[in-house]
Amino acid sequence: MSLRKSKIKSLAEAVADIPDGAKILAGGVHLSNTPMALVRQLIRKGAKDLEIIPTPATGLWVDMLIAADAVRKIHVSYIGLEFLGLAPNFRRAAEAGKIEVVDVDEPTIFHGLRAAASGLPFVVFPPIHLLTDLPKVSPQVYKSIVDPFTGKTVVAVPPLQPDVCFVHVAKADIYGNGLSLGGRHMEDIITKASKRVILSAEEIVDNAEFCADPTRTTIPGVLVEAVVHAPMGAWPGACPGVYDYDRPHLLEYNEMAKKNETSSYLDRFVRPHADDTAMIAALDDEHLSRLRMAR
Amino acid sequence: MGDYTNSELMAAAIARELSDDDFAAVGTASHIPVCALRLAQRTHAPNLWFLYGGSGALNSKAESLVEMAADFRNLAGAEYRTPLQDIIDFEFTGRFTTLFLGGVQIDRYGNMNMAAIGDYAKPKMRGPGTVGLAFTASVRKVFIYVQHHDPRLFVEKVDFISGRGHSGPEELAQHRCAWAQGPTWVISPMGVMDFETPDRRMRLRSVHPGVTVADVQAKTGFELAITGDVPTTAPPTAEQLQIIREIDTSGVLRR
Repeated sequence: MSLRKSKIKSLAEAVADIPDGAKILAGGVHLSNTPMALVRQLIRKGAKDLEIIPTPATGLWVDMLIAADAVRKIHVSYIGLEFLGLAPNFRRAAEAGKIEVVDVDEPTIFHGLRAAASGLPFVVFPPIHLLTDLPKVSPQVYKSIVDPFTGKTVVAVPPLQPDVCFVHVAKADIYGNGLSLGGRHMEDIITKASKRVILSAEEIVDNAEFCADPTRTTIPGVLVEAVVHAPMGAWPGACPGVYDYDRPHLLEYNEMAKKNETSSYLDRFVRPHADDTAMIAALDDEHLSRLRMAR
Repeated sequence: MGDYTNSELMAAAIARELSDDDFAAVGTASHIPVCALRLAQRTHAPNLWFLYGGSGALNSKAESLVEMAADFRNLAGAEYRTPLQDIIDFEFTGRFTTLFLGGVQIDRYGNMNMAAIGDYAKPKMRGPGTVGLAFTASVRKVFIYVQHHDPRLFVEKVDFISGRGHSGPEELAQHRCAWAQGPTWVISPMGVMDFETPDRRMRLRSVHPGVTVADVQAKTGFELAITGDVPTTAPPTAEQLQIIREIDTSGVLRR
């Protein structure tokens, strides 16, 4: 009898074969559960020409990849830093025409991923987008068609299929089962839509923990290709139920980004370290422990 | 001003417009609307439901008003964690009665822009993006909420339509969902506006205490409709103020 295979990989191994130009999605909503460790490893690897398919409301990871000159094209619903305001590197690059922007919105990204997840050729909306300027600036996305049942005008949007998606969770086992303590946002859709799924987790737990209460599993391991143990892997964002977002660090990031100094930020925090383990070890432990929840 | 702040005044003013049968939703930067929703629940609208943005919390009872809508601590005391699938379904089908939205530009018909200011091909200011503003045409009502009031925000015509207000009645009749009424109120730090005019242009409904009609007009990039005497926005009552401060334990509306 052969043994069931472990999907555990190092950060570097997990991103090693992601090609330049790949369509990348990193999960999470705003500053919660964003797989920053995997994103930072893409920067260390020197990824180029990525096509970013973001979740409908996010920003920090995209802003960092743009500053690292890793982005060619981006689908935009909301790219910002939530309570900190606009994402400075995204704003600069878009205003200078350095990245290709495809303006879409929340339902277009969500249902585009939904279509890819379900194998649908496209999805159809009531014609509310015809009241916006989105079809004018993104005619390749919004196509008016006739509803074959009612004869009315409706709007078709195409599937969105990431080549690779990253998802960060509080707990995972070596077979790829994952548990997000903040509950499910759209990870079920993301993981089904993407060709490859890489999971990062704060903690690797025994498979028995998932089997003891399968109703709490938020990602089934069958969809997952690789699992990376990444403590503080959503930092400086939050990992719900594990640690809070690092407000002082985010303010520092934002200040540097506004001054177009994100490259210095990356040279200081990200690039000097071979991976996130070394980077986190170099941070002030007392400061990090203040972010962690009492357990 | 009395012993309340402008933010507390705005929370009380929003609460007054909310109904007992509302199902509302807020997005980012929503301290004031969230305070208003919880105030309404604890006064005249105990059956109101609300979604607290990216946290997915339905009827959050978080112990303080936090700066991030997506903060998972907003799930404290909530009755359900709403996944994005449900949120989008509620937005398309008009289950949300009131959506709180804003923009980087807003015009006299309540059109909202979140995408780009200036020439789209070479924008002067690139905004965060259209997010959920297209749902202006599918939720029942939209409450436009902004944290400042100046002529760069309130413009004659938006450079990009992310959320459609009341311009182009024929197109609206064709493409807007039958139940959708579009932008219904606007609240800013200077006053409350609505669209109760024959051609659905923005009208000044009330000015906040200490602000004159001329002040608001001077800070607005288009001519506001005025019908009769414009009243002063009613200040929060003692009861409202007490409840506001029980909700806002960290005092973010007092800063």
